[in-house]
Amino acid sequence: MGSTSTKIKLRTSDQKVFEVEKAVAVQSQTIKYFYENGCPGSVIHVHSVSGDILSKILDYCKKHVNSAAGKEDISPEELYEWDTNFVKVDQNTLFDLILAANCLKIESLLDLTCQTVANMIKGKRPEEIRTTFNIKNDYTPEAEEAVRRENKWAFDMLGV
Amino acid sequence: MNMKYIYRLNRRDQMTSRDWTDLPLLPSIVDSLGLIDLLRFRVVCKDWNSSSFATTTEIEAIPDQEPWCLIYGGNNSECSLITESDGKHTIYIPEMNGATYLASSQGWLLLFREGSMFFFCPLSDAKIDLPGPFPHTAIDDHVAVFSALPTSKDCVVAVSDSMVYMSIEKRELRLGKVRYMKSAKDKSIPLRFSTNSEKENMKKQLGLEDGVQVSTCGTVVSCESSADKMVPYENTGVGADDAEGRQIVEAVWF
Repeated sequence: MGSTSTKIKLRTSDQKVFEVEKAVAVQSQTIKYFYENGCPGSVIHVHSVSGDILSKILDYCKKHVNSAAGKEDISPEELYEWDTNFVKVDQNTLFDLILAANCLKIESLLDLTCQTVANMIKGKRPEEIRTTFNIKNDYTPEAEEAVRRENKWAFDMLGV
Repeated sequence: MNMKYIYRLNRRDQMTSRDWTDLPLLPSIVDSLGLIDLLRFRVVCKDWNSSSFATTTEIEAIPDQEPWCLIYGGNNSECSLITESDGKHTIYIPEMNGATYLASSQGWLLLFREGSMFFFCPLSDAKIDLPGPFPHTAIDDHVAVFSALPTSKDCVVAVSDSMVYMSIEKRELRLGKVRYMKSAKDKSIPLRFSTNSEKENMKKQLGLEDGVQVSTCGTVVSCESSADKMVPYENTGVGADDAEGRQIVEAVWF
């Protein structure tokens, strides 16, 4: 029981301090590494993550830890539903979640967020993808044509 | 000042739009796109194009993808491509003109035309000729398998008369050095023949009537989570029409 009540202190880029249950915090492989290789009781700095984003990420980790440990009675379908709602966020937040999940090495969250972005891309034409993500077309017309020509048949059939 | 530098300074600001071209993890996203979406993805901008390259070179071997079906239109290069997500499309592939499908695996087709055998990848137009001469000038009702990607020097091709599965002469061709051999009965090749369900589903997608005969060259889809999925060979013989004058549609899964 001792290990489950152990707390880990985390300090974010905007100097907010979180005191988190160890089982939740070590969902992050990065935090786990620093916890196991650092001084006991010391504060772990997560320089690249803001307090807002860390707070959301800890919600995610807590949900999944509780679910896996049977502390919360939630079916796989309900957890999936919860995950789906979790990533219904604005694009800036989604972007920051991906960076943070990568930096903190939380694989399931990285998969979830990347899959969300992939779903936003699927079925769209390049022009629509640019609009969705506010991306400037930095190809010259000739270069863009060359990229399309590499797979001409595919673009023919897309009607792009 | 460089735009990306400004973005980095402001990254924590919730109001500043993130620069999605700068996301360092694009390969994780690219991995979950299908081929067509991937091709569109590459046209969006230069950064996305370069970050997707590592993935596109491996596209032939992505596991767990539903196979596509290529319908051979007869003696011209017009083919129809049926994909799970995008429906039916018409494409023109001159290499298919007058060719017979023998095998399909990991995006590569093994074709026979005018006495020679070759591998062809419809997605990249890559063609690899098998060293000849092949002992037969015509192939009827044969099936074949190949053991590895045609780009691998370990690739072994085995051709068999499909009417007498596994039992009579099989010819083994190894790229680079040809060995035609009569194989012993105990040397089995991994061909499995399975149900009609894929074919019926394909007919539905094509809008074909039940009476239309479809001769298909199957494939194997590698799955990471479970056993590899086999799409069956359905060989009703080569020819444009059956005995009652109905058209026989030829197709290949890949």
